[in-house]
Amino acid sequence: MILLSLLLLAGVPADTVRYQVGDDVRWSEPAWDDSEWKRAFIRDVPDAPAILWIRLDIDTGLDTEAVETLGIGTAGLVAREVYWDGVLIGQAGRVGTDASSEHVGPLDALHRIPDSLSMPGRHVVALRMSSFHRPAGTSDLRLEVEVGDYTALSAEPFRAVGLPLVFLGAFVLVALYYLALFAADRRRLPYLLTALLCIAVAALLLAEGWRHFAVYPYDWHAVRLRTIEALTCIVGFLLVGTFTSQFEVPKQAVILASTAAGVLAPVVFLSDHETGTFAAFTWALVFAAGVTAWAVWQEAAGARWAFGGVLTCLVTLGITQLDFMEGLFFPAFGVLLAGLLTSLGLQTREARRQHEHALASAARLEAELLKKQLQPHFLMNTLTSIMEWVETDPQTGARALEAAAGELRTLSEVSGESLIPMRRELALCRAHLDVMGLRRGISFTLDDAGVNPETPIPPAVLHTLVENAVTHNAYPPGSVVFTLREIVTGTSRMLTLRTPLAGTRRRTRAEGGGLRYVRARLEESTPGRWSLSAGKKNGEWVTSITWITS
Amino acid sequence: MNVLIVEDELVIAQRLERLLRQEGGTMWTRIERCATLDEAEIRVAKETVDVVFLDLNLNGLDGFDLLADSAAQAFHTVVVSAHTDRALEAFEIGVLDFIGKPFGAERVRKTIERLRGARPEHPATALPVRTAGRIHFIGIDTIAYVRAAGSYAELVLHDGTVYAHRKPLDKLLSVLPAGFIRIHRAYLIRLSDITALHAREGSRYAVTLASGEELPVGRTRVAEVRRLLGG
Repeated sequence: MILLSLLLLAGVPADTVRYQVGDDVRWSEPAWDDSEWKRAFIRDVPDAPAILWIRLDIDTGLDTEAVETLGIGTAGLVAREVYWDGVLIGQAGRVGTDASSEHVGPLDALHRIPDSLSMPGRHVVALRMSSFHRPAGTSDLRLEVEVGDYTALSAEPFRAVGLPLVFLGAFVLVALYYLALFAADRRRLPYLLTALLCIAVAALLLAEGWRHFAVYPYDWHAVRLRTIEALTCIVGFLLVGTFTSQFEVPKQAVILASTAAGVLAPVVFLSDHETGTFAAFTWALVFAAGVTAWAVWQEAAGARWAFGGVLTCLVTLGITQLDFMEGLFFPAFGVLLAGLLTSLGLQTREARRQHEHALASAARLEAELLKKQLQPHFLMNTLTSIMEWVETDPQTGARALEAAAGELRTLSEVSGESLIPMRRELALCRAHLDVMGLRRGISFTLDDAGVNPETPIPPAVLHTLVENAVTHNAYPPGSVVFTLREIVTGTSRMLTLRTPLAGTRRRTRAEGGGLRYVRARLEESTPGRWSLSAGKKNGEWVTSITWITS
Repeated sequence: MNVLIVEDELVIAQRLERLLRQEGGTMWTRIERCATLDEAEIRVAKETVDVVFLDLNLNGLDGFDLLADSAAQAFHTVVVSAHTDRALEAFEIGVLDFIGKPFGAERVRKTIERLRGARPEHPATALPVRTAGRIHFIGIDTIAYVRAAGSYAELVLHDGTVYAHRKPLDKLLSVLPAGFIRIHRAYLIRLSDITALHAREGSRYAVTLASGEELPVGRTRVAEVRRLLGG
């Protein structure tokens, strides 16, 4: 009993009907013999350029006590009169014999069945219809008949829009969030595209729900379908565009042009709007799957999530086929969007991590360089020497102070740069050699014949090599010449520094802090496009740095 | 006194020599300079050197490994370094003094005072000894007493082990904690280890240690030992 009542409350939808082209007022009567009429599933009743009748049997069940008032809901791209057991209980528009005599009525209509007629048992529903204003691009009459509790039936549109409204709110919020993110960081185009995608999906939801929000005349139906079709194309295109931009796929123009062609072709060539929409969206998903699969192959951050989302959507679409747009589109698209947002989030995190790493490493290099100059060994030895000169040879002291000050000034100026011109680097080296020469009683010369003074070089790289040579050799007082040569071949540039070896048989650590600094600087300014070699050759220490200029 | 300055900075080496001469005057028999450790090793092997002034960052090396080697030698080691943060570490292995760079005449004078017998700022906590080509650190706490063995010294540990040290007793005494005293030409012991002072036949004296061992006390040092023991 309860089950039956529930069934009644939910309404009894019609499936198979009898139909006949022509017009006879007696065709509404329950007793009329329609055994000769054609039979069809209600959605398959063909259109006719004349008045058309359908008849169907409805069994309201034995107990109608559970419902207060019976109602009959009808929908279709037709003007219609609705008969209940031969009694005209309502009409939508006015049925006519041609376009001018027919008055277009609403797509959906709900009529109350008089209490006197709603006794339990079998009833005959008959619809007299004409469809002279059926819009192009609609494949059938979209007939629906449903009998049930009047109150429940009238609440149905609101129930139908409940879930889509939740999705609508979510899409709008996500769109606003990504618009704000884009406003804060304009370099990230995927943020803007994601926001636009969400706005397009929200608009699509509105277009889909339009029928439930506001009753419209049936000849407007094509407008709505065309809107849905256009919005689906936009959604599909934006989807592929977002992924393409997010994962920085190569040949973006080709991909986007193919997507546009693939999405627009069914819309242009298929007359039926719904099939066109379906095909366009399928195409977009296939492209999106391709782009995200490429990203997975490239091991891009978050690519698996994006691909998973697209795949879920594609599989759902494959299973439900044409019903997809009506039924599971928004939940499935929600999954896809969740995948997209997760991948965006992961990518943002990865980008931020890299950015922070770069900042930290730049800061570390700068600090390392400054620390090198402030390290007690260099500074205190210089000060001790200066003390000696102050007491014994103030003139030399003044010269040494000047050179040391010059070296420190230049170092603090360039420490924050990632590249400086060679002439500054050479000036830095010479200042250091001046100070060290005075301290050790050696006359150092840096021979830089043929070196381009404008060659960009990471700061204090040569300086570090020169410093290493002075520190690690026990040059006797006298004169020492360091030789620097530059060889440019194509985009490759090689600097070679040759310093004489002298003194100590004790070798220092293979790779000191100095060389680590040089490597880190080269990596910062020319990531992955440099090499460094160092070794003994003909009684000299030879260090070569090669890098590719971009 | 013979001095060897090991410093790769010419001007600093000159400065140190000048200040030593200025403050020490006739105290020095010879002052020599060299710029590398290799050269220093040759000098030390060939000539008698009483004190080495050692720069810890010679030619970019971390001189701390060398320092232990130097401190294990017969001569006194005075570190001259910019790394004043490592001074304590140096004192703990028995260097006589640590001159931080930059330095002036005042600081060099202080070192000269220490060379003349004043105790270092921080006593050693361990003594490096060289045995079979390797450096061992002997904790001061593990030493029972030190006895002379020719021009060297022997560190006698509580467990009976004996290590030879290249420094003579007087040089060792100047880097050991103040608790160590000289009771005999040939013995250094920790004052707190003495349990009794005895007179022996023939106007000879001896002390008994906590371990029960008996060591001779030099005739000229009896009064000082008695005074330190408080009666």
